[in-house]
Amino acid sequence: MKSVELIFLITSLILLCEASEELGKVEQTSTLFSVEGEIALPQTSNCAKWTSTARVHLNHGQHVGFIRQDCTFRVDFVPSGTYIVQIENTEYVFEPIRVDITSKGKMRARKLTILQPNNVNTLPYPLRLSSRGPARYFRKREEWRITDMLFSPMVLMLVVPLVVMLILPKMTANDPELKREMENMQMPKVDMPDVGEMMANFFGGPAPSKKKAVTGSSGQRRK
Amino acid sequence: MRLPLLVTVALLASVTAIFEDQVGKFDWRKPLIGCPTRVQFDKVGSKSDRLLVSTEQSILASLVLNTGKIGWRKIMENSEEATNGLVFTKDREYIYSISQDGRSVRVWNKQNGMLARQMIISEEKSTIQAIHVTKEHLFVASGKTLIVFRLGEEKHIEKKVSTFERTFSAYFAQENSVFHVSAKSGNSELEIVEYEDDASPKTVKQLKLSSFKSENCQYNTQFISCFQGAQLEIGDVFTQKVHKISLDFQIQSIETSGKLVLARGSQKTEVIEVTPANGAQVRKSLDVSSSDAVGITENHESIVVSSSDAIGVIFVNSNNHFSAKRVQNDQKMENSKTKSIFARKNEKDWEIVLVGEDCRTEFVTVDEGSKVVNFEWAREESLINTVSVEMVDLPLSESQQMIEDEFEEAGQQNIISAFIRRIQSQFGQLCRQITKNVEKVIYVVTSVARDGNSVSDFINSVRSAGQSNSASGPFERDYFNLRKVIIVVTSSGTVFGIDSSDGQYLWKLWLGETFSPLDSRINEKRVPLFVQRTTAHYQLDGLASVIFKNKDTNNGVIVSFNPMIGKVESRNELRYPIKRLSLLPVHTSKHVYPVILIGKNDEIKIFPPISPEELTSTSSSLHLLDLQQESIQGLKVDLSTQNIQAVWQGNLGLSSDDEIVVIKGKSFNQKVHSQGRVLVTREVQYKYVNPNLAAIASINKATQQLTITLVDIVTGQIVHSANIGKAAEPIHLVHSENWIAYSYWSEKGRRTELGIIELYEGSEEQHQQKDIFDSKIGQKLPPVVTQQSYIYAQGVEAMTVSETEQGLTTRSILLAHPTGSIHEVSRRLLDANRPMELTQAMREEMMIGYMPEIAVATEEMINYNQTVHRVRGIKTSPSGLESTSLVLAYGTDLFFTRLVPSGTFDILKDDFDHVLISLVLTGLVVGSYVSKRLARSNALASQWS
Repeated sequence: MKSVELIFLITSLILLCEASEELGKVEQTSTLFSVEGEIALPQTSNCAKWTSTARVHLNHGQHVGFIRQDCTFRVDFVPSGTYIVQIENTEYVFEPIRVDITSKGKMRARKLTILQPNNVNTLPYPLRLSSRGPARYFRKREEWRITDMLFSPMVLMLVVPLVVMLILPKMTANDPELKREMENMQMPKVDMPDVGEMMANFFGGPAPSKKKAVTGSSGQRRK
Repeated sequence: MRLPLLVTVALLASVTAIFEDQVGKFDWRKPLIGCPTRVQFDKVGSKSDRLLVSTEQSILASLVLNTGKIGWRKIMENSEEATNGLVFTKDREYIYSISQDGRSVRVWNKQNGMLARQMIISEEKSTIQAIHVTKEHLFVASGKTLIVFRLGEEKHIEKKVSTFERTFSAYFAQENSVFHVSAKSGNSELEIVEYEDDASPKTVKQLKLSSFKSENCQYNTQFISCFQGAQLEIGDVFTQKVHKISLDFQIQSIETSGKLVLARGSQKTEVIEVTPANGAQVRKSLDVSSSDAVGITENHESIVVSSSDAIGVIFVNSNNHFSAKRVQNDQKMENSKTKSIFARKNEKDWEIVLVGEDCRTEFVTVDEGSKVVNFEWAREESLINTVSVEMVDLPLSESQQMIEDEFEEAGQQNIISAFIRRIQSQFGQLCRQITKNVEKVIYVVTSVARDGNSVSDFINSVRSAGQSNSASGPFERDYFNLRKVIIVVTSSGTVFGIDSSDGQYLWKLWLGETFSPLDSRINEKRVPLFVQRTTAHYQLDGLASVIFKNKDTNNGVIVSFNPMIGKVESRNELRYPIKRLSLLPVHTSKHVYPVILIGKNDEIKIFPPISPEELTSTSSSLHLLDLQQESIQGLKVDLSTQNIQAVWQGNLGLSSDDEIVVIKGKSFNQKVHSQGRVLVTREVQYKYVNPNLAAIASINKATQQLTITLVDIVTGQIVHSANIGKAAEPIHLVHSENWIAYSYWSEKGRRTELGIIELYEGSEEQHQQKDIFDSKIGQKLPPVVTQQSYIYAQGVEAMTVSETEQGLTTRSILLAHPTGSIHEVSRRLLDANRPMELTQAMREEMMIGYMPEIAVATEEMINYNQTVHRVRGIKTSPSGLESTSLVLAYGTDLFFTRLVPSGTFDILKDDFDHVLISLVLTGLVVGSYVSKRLARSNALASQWS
C-alpha cells in the first residue's frame, strides 16, 4: 500500500514535469466544449494496438470518447461543469483527472482527490494521463521453495528428533565429561543409550559400518 | 495504528482475487453486438472476409465471416433518442460512421477498429443522417447541415447549414459527381444538390414525387422509390425523371437494390425493374407466403426467399429458381421468422445473412451447383436485451433419486421392509459407483494407450479422468449443485435455457410476434419470470412462467414451461391488462407456487388456481405495495375471497417533487443464518429482520435530496427514513437481511458514495417465537438504526448482493462499473459498525476500523479483464456449497462466474493434488514394508555373525 502511494507521487511528479506548453483549443462561440488529452503508455507497449479496446469516460460514462491511433483523444460536445476523466481499458491502471470547464470554455485540470474534493492541485491542459502500471487481476500461485519445506512443522518434527537421536549419542561418546554430565542430568533413564543401542540393532553390522550409518543419512542406508 | 489496518484490508482484498490458471475454469463470457439493422459484406486486407454490422443498441462491429466471432466491437454512446453508429459507409481502409446523435463522424480502421479520426458536424442533434465517401472526399448530411471533408483531414472544406429541417437525406453518386437529395417536412418536392469534382455544391434541381413520405420510401444507387396504396413511384435522381407504376395489390413494404424494386403486399410480391429506356416494368411475380422473408442479392439479379424450412433463390432474368432445404440443427431451439435478409453472390454460392425477429443472426451459404444450404454460424443477439434471469437446479441424479426413494414411503411400512429397501437402494448406489469407476479406469487405460506410455502421460491422464468434465456427463445435478440451468428472458421476446457450466444454449423459446414487455412505473421494460416449481420434487417436472403482454390487445399473457427442456406447458391470455403481479408464498398440493395477476380494475387471477384448502391461515392474504400517481398505498389481497382492499394510504412524507427511483422488497425465501451479531462487549445485538419491509429511494431533483424510506408494507409504518443532501442519480439500492446498501452520486463531493443502513432490535430479542415475524405485533422499541457512508472512486451501473444457500457466508456486494468491471466489496468493508477507533479488543475480533474510502483494486474485479458493459443487472444464486454463489451479469455481454465471498472454506482448493498425495502415501507404505523386511534380515544376519 505504501509503495502504491509512492508510485502515485512519482507519477504526479512526472505529470508535472512533462507538462506540454501547448494551449487547448477553445471554442468560444458555443456552450459545448471539447476535452482533449493524450495518453502516455509504458515505453514497451504499442499505442496503436492498445487503443482499439480503450475508451475515455467523463463522469463515469456521461460522455464517452475514443482514443485515436496516436494516443490522443478528444471528447466533444461537453457542456461546462466539472468532470472526472477516466480511461477505460483492461491492461493498465490510470489515475483519473478532474477537469473543470467554465461557462466560457476555459479548462482547468487538476488532480482528483476524492477524499478532499476542494484540494486544488493543478495539472496542465491538454490532459496527459500516464499509466500507473499494468493492471493485475490475479493472485500469484504459491511457489515451491526449499525454505518453506524445511521450516514446515511436519519436517521440523521429523528433523529435530533425528538430530537428537543420531548426533547426541555420538557427541557424548567422544566426550566422557559430557557423557557424565548427561547422565547426571535427571533425564528419563530409558533415553539416549537405549536409543543408540536400538539403532545399532536396527542397522546391525560391526562397528565401522555403524559409523557409516551414523554419518550418512538413514535413507541411503535403507537402499 | 494505520499500518495493521491497511494490512488487514490488503489481506481481505487478496482473498477475493483468482489465480491466473483459473481463468475460464468456471467462468464464461458471451460478447454480444445487438440486433443488426445494417449489414455489409466486406473484405479486410487480402484474405479475411468480414461482416460490418451496425445494431439497434448503438454498437458498430466487425464479425469474422467464417466463424461469426467478433473481430472488433465499438460500443457507442447509449442514446435514448436514437441509435448511434447506425449510418455508416466504408472505403478500402476505413469505416465512416455518424455518431453522437448525428453530431460527429468517427472514422475507424477497418482492420482492427481503431479510431483514426473524429470530425464534428454540428452541435445540433438529428436523426436524419446520410454519409457518402468518394476517392477524395467524405460527404456528410445530418439534420440541417451538409458538410464535406477531404479524406485524411479533420477540418471540413465545405459546410452549408440550411434554414429548414430535413425529413429525408441521402447521397447518390454518378461518375465524378455526388448528388445530395433532401426533403423538407410536408413537402413532396425533393431538392437535389450536385457536388462536382472539387466538392463545391453546384446546381440545385428539383425532383417531384407526389407520394413522398420518408417512411414509405427506399433509395439506392440511382433511384428513390416510394409507395402509396397500390401505386409505386420511382424517381431517377440523375435525370430527374419519375416513373410510375400501379400494381394490382396494396403495397405494404418495398425493398430496392440496383435497378430492382421488390414490392410486397399481403398476398403478392412482385419484382419491378427500372430502366431509363422502358421505365418501370413488372418483371416477375413471386409466390411467397406472408411469413417468408424476401431479400435482393446485393450484386446479382436474384431474389432470396427464406422460409422456416427452406431457402429459395429466384433469378430475375430467367425462369430459373430453386429451393434448398434448411436443416434444423437443433429441435430445442425455437426460432422466429426471418425479419431481414442480406445476401451476396459469390463465384460459386450465395452468402446470406438472415436476421430474425428474435435478433438471431444466422449466416448460411447456398451452393449453386448442389443446391444445398450450408449452415455456417448463428448468433443469438437478443440476449443483449436480457431483463429477467433465474437459475434452476438440475434434476436429481439417479443416485440422489434412490436416496429420495428410500425415504419416500418410509412412514407407511414396517421396519423390516424399510430395512430391505435401504439395503436395496444402497446396493444400487454401490453398483452405480462401481460401474462409474470401471468406466473411469477404462477411460484412463484407453487414453494411456492412445497418448503414449511415459510416466508423465500416465499421471496426466489419471488427472484428467479425475476431473472428467460434467458437460459430457448426463443431464443431472452434480455433487455440489454447482451446475444449473440459467433461464434468461429478453425484452425481444425470447427465453433461453443456458447451461451454466459452459454457457451453451440448451433450449430457446420464441414468445411470438405479439410479444411486448410489460411497462412499469420505475424501470421501463419488464418481463417477469417466476420459478413456480423447482426440480427438487423428482417425480414432478420443474415449472417456470414468464409474463408479458399482447402487443395488439394489451392483455396479459402467461406462458408456463418446463425449465429443463423448454417445453411449453400452457399459454394463457388474460382478458385484461396486468397492473400488478407477484408470486404467492404458498404452494399448491402439486408443489407449484402460483402467480397472482391483478388487472387494471382489480381483477384477480391466480395461476395455477389454488384451492382454499391449500391456503393456511397465515397465508390466506397477501400484502402489496402499490404506487399511485400521488400517493403510495398498502393493499391487502384476500386470496380465498379474491378481493383487494387498501389497508393504508399516504405519501410517506414524500412531496410531489420526489421521484421514486427504486423500490426493493425482500424475497420471501431469503435465509438469514444468525439472528444476531456479537459485539465486542460479548453482548448480542439482535437483527431486525422484517420480511415485510420495503426500501424506497426517491430523489427530489429540485433540492437534490435523496430520501430513503423503509416502510412496513402490512401496516404502513415508516420504520426509518433518511435524507441525503446534494445527491443525484444514478441511484442503486440493495436490500437484504437487516440492511440496505445504496449508492448515489454526490454533487458536493463530486464522487460516488455508498451508504449502508443496518437495523437492529437492540440487545434484547423482541420477538419470542422466531419462526414468523409479525408486523402487527407492535414493537416495544423502534429498531436501532446504524448507518455509515463511504466514498467510492468509481461509477456504479448496477448493484447486487451475493446469495448463498444458508446465508452463513459473509455477503458481498457486487458493483458494476461503467468501464466494464464488476467489483466485489465484502460486507465486512461496507459495514455500518466499523469503529472509528480500534481498541485492542476490537482488533482481536478482527474488526476493521472506519476509513472513509472503499478502495477499488483491480484484483477485486470478479471478471478480471472480461469486461461487461452497460450492465443492466447482476443475478446471484446460491449453489449447493455454502461458500459459493453463482453470478450472472448481463449487459452488452453475459458473464457468468462463481463467487466465493469468504473463500472456499468448505471444499479443498482446486489445485489440491490428489494424485501426488496418493502416490506419496503408497510410496511410504511400500517403503516401510520393504525397510521392515530389510531390517529383519539384517538383524538375523547380525545375530549369526
